[in-house]
Amino acid sequence: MSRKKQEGTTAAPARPGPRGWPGRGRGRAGSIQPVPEWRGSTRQVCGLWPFAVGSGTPMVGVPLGRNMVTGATVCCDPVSWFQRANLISNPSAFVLGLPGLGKSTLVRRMAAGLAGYGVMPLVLGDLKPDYVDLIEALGGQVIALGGDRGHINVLDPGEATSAAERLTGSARAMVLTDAHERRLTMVSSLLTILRAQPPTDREETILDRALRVLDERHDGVPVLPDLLEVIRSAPEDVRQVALDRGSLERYQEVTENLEASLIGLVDGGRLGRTFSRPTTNPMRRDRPVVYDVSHIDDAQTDLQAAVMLACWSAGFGTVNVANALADAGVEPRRHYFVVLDELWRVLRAGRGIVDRVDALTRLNRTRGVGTVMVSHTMSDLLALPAEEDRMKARGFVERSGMVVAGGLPGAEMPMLTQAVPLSRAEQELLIGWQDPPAWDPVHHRETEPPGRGKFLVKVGGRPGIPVQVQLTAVELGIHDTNKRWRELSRVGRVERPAEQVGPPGG
Amino acid sequence: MPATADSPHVPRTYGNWRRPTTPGLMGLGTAGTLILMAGLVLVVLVVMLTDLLTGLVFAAGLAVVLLAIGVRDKHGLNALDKGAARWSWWRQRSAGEHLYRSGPLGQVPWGTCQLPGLAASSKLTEHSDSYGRRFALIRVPTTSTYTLVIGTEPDGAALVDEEQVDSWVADWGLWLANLGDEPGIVAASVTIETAPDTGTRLRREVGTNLDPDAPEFARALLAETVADYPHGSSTVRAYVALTFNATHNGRRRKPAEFARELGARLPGLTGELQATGAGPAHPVDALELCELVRVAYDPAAAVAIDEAHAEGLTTSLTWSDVGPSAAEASWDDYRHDSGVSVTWAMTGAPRGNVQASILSRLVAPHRDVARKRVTLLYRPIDAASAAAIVESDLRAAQFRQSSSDKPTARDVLATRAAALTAQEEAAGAGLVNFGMLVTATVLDEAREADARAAVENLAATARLRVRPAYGSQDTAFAAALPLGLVLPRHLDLPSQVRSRL
Repeated sequence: MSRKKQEGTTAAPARPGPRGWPGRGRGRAGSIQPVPEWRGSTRQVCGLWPFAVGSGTPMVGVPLGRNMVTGATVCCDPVSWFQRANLISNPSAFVLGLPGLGKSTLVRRMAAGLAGYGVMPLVLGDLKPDYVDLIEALGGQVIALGGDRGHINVLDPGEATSAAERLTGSARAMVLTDAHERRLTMVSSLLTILRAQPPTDREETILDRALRVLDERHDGVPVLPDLLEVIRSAPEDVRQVALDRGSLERYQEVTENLEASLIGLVDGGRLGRTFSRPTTNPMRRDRPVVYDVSHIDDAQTDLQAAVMLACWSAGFGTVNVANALADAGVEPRRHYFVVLDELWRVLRAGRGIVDRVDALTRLNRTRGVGTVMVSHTMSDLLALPAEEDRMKARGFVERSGMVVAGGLPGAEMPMLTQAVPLSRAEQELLIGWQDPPAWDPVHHRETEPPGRGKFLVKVGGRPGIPVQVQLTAVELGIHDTNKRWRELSRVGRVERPAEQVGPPGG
Repeated sequence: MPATADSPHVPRTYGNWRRPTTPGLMGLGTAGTLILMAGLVLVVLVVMLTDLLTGLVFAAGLAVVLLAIGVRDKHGLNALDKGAARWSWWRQRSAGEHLYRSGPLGQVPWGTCQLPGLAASSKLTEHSDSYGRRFALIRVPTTSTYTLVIGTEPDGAALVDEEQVDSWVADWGLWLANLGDEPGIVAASVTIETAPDTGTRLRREVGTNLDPDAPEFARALLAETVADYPHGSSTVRAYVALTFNATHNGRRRKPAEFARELGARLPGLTGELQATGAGPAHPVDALELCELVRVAYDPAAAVAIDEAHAEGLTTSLTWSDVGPSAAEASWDDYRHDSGVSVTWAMTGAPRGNVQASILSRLVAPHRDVARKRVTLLYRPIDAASAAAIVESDLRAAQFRQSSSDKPTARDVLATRAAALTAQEEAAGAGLVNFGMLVTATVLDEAREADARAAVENLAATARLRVRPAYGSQDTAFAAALPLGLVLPRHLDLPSQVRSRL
């Protein structure tokens, strides 16, 4: 076995030979059989193309499920793909797909996973509610609004006041200015919705000045009645900008419309008292938050729009405060993941909303906010009355860092391909996912819909990543969007002892 | 690419490749024909000088020799090839050279775990290209070549329109054609490696990003995905190895000197590769190459290496650590550290016309094969000699066709194919020799039979004829790695002579 002796006698070569080290156990190559070669022109040999199978995506982000082609795990979320993987140009995603195919489930997975990565999900206006149970499970804040369930004070600067105390110089001024402007914008927006037309520039100036006076005079957090009081009391500052020329009568004339509208807001007009009471549940910046607005009836589109705007205003106010504190080095950096589900309903809720969403999608990169927007189809999105709104709405899809598409009808494809290029194979895949499941007449049991939980992640012109979302047992415990269909329907006669209904006839 | 509704797409097909042959009679090559002629003259002389019986015996001997050369099996091998393989295997085995024991307690003089066999003398150096990216350069002194490895991540053709695939494939053809114009190029290889996902990447992704203050629900969810997701999933990686001649104008260049020149060309090479559907391409640095070779020889090390990466550590492997610490070649498989591998060589390119997706199932992950490498070996023929070669191929084919009164259909087609190739070459296409190796590695010896069946089935889906590299499993295994081993350059009997038989 050992050749030690021989090694001593014959001088061992200092270098391996052309075929390796000769000798027992040294692995010298034996016969070299040439690999049989074929010859062709490069125009033909390229047909044996080796790159037909994709290597998959970098494993960065929230694990979503399995790549349907390669079987590899797919990790994907707009925040991680933007922040760490540099795969997309801005941290936003647009999710499209027919109802019942698991869009909310996908977004909930992203939100929950990101919560694990220290990114706070903010659901600023949950109309369904799809996210309340998730945010509860994440130990977050559930803020119910609408009717008597909760109020949101549009004049509440939120955490800006307490944050400003911890800041100095320009940072402090910035936080306070932002809070002031946010309140002004919010009051103007409410007036816009109430009157169906925006307030005049003079009225806006009066409001601006009145808010400043209010801040000086008022102790604590003011509410809308306080603002009304300030305008009624006609302080010198406000009279100046109202151009009353020294006459109180003229002042009252100028402010009459404004006063009337504000009374509408304070005393419960169409918008109720939701905005004129102190905030019942102030939003916190270190928790996942959901604004549960599902109790507002769908018919109250004005109220829905106003509440959504108030939620966004409060939400982005909180984000700004967190950013200012992090910039000053007082608190750790927090990123937020803003979920705008049922976007088509949000957009439908009224004018002004499209512009707000538009502003949001343009600024998310600088604000440190990842956004995900969810809508059923492009046609839903484009069913807006005004042409410019439709253009903007298409822009939401075009500007999204990634588009995640589920099963969609064929009629959608021309519209969708305008916003994001899809190959024919991808289009066929999406159309196939909206087909009904095959039914099984023998076992009386429908198979799973073919498109459930299947999504195509598209980033720009690169080939899409087909992913099958796989739910975990943890999620299955809380997720059920069809809760009310779980039990069988029963007539359930109501016993009414007072008025006995006798047998019919006689 | 957005889909257009107009004219339905006609699938493009490719084909027309042929085995290089030399002109000769009765299916023999030039050398075979010469032996036949000389033998016949000898037989006549023997009959004249001695009696008829001796002449007959002599003729019978000649017939045996010619049969050994001329009768080829379906893999294109004649008795001479097979006999030589048997004999050299027997010689290697009786010398104990099919065994490899490396490391401090092994048999290898240096006491390191260096690569065995042909790659034993290879050296690794690392340099920077003009973008400042590090790249590894393997030097094989025996053949005096330098090899550069480029790693790519293909997008895959699964959800891409045929037009896009056609354009990728056309660019791949262009890339191959340009190879022929690269100064000093000897060979190129593309290796598509599929490997099981160890799950470490996912564990690392979740582990390093998990917020310590994260809600319990989110932690539970992520923990469950980490536990459930990786099973059965696999990774696909592609490597393109380019081998260059170390000598230039009769002078042997030093690695640093060569790397300087190559560094300037590398951004162009990687850039062009991206248009071929190979996806983002980057030069492979020394550490990545060491890890890749180490994992090929010791698949079980993949977990340890991935875990080291997960903890943010580097493995600090060097070229003298990457070989197997123990390996044993047998007639039809190769045991190395923690794996058993079988390597097949393509003995028949797809016959007829094929579409560009022909290899997709072969290169895709397969559940019965833990690790699989499909390596396409290209030897570009430089533009200067390509013209002469296609012309001589055409002449050879025409000679074959006209040497018989009733040419076989195959001969007629071969002539047509050779004529087409000559036309394409004249119109600017390059000429390339190509071969293919497929290596399947399993960790559990009991799974070897499954892997064999799987690869042979996959090869059938690609319409390839494959044959295990009997008796040279160790060499074939190394040749299928992106190491730049150009087997024709290592042969005793130069390939030119072989092909003439």
